[in-house]
Amino acid sequence: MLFISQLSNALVIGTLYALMALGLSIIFGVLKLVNFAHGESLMVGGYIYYFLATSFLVKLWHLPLSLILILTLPLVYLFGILIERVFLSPAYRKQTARYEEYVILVTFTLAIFLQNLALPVFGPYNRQAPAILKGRIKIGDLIIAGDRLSAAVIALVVILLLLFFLYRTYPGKALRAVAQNATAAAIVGISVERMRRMAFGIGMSLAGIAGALLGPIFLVNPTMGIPFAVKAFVIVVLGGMGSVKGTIIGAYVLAIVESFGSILLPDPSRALAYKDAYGLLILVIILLFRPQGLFGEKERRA
Amino acid sequence: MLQVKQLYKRFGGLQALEDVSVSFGQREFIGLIGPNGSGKTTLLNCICGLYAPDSGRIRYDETIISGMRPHRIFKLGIGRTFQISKVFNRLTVMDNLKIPALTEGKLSRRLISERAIDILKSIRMENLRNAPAGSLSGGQKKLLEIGMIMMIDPAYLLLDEPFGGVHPELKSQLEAYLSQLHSSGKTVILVSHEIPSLFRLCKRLVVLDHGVLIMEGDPETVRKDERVIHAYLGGVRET
Amino acid sequence: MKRFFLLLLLGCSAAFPLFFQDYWLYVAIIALYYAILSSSWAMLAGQVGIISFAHAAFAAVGAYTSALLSIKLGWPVALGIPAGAFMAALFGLGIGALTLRMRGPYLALTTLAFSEIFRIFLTAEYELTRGSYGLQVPLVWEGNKIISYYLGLSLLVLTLLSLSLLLKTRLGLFLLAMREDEDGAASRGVNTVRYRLYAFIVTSAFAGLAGGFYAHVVGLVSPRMTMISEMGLILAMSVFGGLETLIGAALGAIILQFLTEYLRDFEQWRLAIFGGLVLFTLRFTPEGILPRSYELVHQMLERVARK
Repeated sequence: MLFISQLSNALVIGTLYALMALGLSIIFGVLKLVNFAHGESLMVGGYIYYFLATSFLVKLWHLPLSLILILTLPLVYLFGILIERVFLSPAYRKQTARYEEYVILVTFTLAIFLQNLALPVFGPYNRQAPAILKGRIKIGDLIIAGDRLSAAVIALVVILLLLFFLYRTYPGKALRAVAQNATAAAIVGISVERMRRMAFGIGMSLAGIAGALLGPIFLVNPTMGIPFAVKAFVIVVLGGMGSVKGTIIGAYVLAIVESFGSILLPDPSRALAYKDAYGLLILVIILLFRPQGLFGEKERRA
Repeated sequence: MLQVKQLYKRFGGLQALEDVSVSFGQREFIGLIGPNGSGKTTLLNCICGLYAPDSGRIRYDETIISGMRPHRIFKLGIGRTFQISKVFNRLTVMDNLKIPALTEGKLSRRLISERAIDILKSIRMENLRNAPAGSLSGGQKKLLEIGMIMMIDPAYLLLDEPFGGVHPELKSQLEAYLSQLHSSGKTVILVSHEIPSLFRLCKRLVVLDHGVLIMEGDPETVRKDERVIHAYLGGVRET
Repeated sequence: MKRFFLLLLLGCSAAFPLFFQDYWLYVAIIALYYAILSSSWAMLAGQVGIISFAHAAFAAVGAYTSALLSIKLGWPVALGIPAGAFMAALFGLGIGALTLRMRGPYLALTTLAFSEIFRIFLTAEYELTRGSYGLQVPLVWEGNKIISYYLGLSLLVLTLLSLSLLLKTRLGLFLLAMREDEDGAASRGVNTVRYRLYAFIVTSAFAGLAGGFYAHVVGLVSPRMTMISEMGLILAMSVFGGLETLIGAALGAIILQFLTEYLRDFEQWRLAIFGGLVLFTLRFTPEGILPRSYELVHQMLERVARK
């Protein structure tokens, strides 16, 4: 029974991990950069959902929370596009000599900036966002918290929609084309700059919606994104940077390792203290021995 | 003796080199030719260590150099230049020349400076010694690149399109310099599209097409070979 | 002009304790700590092109080494601080040897992960480190601020001198060449991995030196030293002062640290303001605000002199 409940927990959390890690992966695939501000887009999404869901308008018009959730998506998308426009595309267009270092510095600084802007603006306290499904849900012997289940189901729907978009629609295919070979994509008439912007917007909004879903389960605060961003880094490294399939598998692998790792280890108190270090250790080990990830392909040098 | 044996290199879906075996003997002057994208530069990159081949081996005298890091291959005496010049733009011409020699660690600074000045004289760039390399013309950069590898006096020179974008006047100077280097005992492997220069300089031509070595031989034979004409003209046959 | 400016700066900082005591002197001491960290980080990021997020962690390695040596083994501070630097250099060697073959974003990620693992280790190993409470450390010269100040100033001068001399040697030339064209340098005989590793070890040692100094002037070391926001602060100071000049980065650290104290009332807004400043700098004057303003002043002076 413990096994089943741990497993279902891992599946729920894994789906949410997959959602935000896919965002990071898409950004890496198309823009070739690690978005160090990914956790902060999750935080932004969490706050947007929180403030919309608790605003008087919702109470006044009895708007359903699912509508609010859907509204979060375009808002974070716009936020992402804005950031891409202001900080990333000028450097890309000018072919800045140190582009690779520049984007690391910019996204890292952006993360610090957003965290520390949210701190005085929203206050350091935790806020509890309302969940779409409350209470507990019983499936056979299994009891799952409603907020977790609804979050996982919605996350799954969003992931499926994303996959449909990427593999079945024209802009999605264009996005993947740019990820594979930007020059060739440009030659066949795809606007690389527009695709880069779209990819960044989509990546950020996936983290944003994950934030909105995680808000009711964990809590909304200025630094809520950090642990999830770290997990997303681990996942994309595990699955191979930019690989969609690898990212999804990596997300579930990490979730399973996390939920079983802590019950399997001796000396529980120390194991707990090091809980956040396991994923990081996996990340370092993979980067050292299989930098293309477990599922990624080797990239061409030079 | 530089021996390439059954070399394979693939980039994603593109087979850049396929079963290439070729050897370059001491004091030879060889032209490496083939249409664009035929794998010439990839072969040079594999020889000088910038790419690790997928399989096959490259042997230099008794040493197997495939898989070695580029700086070690350079120190064994295989120097190369690049199609798009890789000079250090923000450093002076003099510093550019000094770098390869300084990595040796054995030579005194005075000796290095003297050698650099000698080389500058032989490529007729003495007056530019303190200019930043970024301010040089395309042709001057090509010359500087050759000068840089000459600083360690290598036995093999791998030159990737040294005539590309070079002013005609400078080109004949470059040609003269290359044959002077050859007669002083260097092996020169020349990647080029300049057929007249190749015919003047090379004793042997090696032809690549789509990553495959399609033939090698003296320039006259190669020129008349049907496979070569076919590769260059893409299926349009001359009668 | 530049030499005069440097001498003036040195004179001012040497005379600083004559005019300011206690509180502001303490602020200056902390500023010196950050100045050593920022200038060594700027050397790594600006001259070598390695964006490492482990610099604050290396400072903590130095701080904890020196602290533990003086607490557990009774080592004097004069030995503890160099031992801290040495330990940080060893860590730099280990981590550098593992990571320096990686490309930019991967290296940044790995160093960030190392830094986090180290912070978790410091927090979890309670018996050794007293966890998040931190260790009480004996102060240098019973906490005499004037002595601490001059110690910090000499360490900063030592850092700046050794790093700039280093850049004038063979190694400096190779680093410049690698920065311009990595493949180009490698195929002219430069062992790129080895020289990058040298640079990484040296700058890590200076981070450790700064950390050891910090431990013995503040009297407390805690895992807070390795927080990501500390790294953000170092980054902000270096970028603000100019990544490509060592002195610029040190000045950037000193200016931002004093600014922090003036902004005490806005404590909460501090990092948001700095973050915004850095974003602005990166976007509009990537060479740094200080070098840019120096340039502008210089041009203005020249124009005045011509008239």
